Amino acid sequence: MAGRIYEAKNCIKYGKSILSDIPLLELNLYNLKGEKFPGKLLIPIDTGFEGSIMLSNEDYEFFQIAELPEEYWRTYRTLAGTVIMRVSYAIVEVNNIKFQTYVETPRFGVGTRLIGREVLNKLTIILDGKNKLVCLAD
Amino acid sequence: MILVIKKIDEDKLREFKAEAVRRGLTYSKAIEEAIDLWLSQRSNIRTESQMNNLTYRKLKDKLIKKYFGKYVVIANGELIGVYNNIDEVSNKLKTLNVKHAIVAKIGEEPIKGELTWLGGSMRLRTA
Repeated sequence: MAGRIYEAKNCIKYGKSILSDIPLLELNLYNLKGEKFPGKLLIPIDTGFEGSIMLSNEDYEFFQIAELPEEYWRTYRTLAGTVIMRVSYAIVEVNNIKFQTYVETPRFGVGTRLIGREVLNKLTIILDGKNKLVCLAD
Repeated sequence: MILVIKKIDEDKLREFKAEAVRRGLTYSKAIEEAIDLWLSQRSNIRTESQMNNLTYRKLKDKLIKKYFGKYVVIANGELIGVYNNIDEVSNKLKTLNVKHAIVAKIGEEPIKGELTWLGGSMRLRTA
């Protein structure tokens, strides 16, 4: 298979952690009213999360203006058991490209910020672990 | 307890202080009341969510027969409207003054089975 050369753009530094630093993605989120979620969002990349973008309960309230009915909420199998997630429509902007996605938060529990494979699979991302940089490519 | 808040909007704070004086409240009492009100609104959102979901469940069969493939918006426990695409939904939501609404694409199958979140609940902690 022929190799490919990717042009790295918009690189950002990994976030700090105790043992291994965390690859982060910078993005903007909008609710379905078109309102931008306030503040800069640097969200950890989690390839182990099959969903889209997980948020804390508090962040998620901003997106509840377009929530999916309960029957569309998602169930995840985790190492600690099953977790049900509420799901809302949202718009994500990465690398100056906007597309429709979903945001999720645990029905029970506070949640956290993560980007899962449903969004990651729409992007070309370079994880430069040696230099602790996450870059985007076209 | 002493609370220091930085970067608060000065105009809002001035208005808040004036309203506290008008009501004969100390600042701390006024802030406590504001916190109570904010937290009670949060529980209202849950109720709104339950109400909207109940309406969706009641209407679901009718919606599938009449509006297959279209989007519906439910808010305040009522069907607000039926729309052809997500942009039309977005335009309608801009006119609504609600904290919670249901948006559903009628006839779309829910995800069946369990998805995975491999690292769920795992986090390294210092000793």
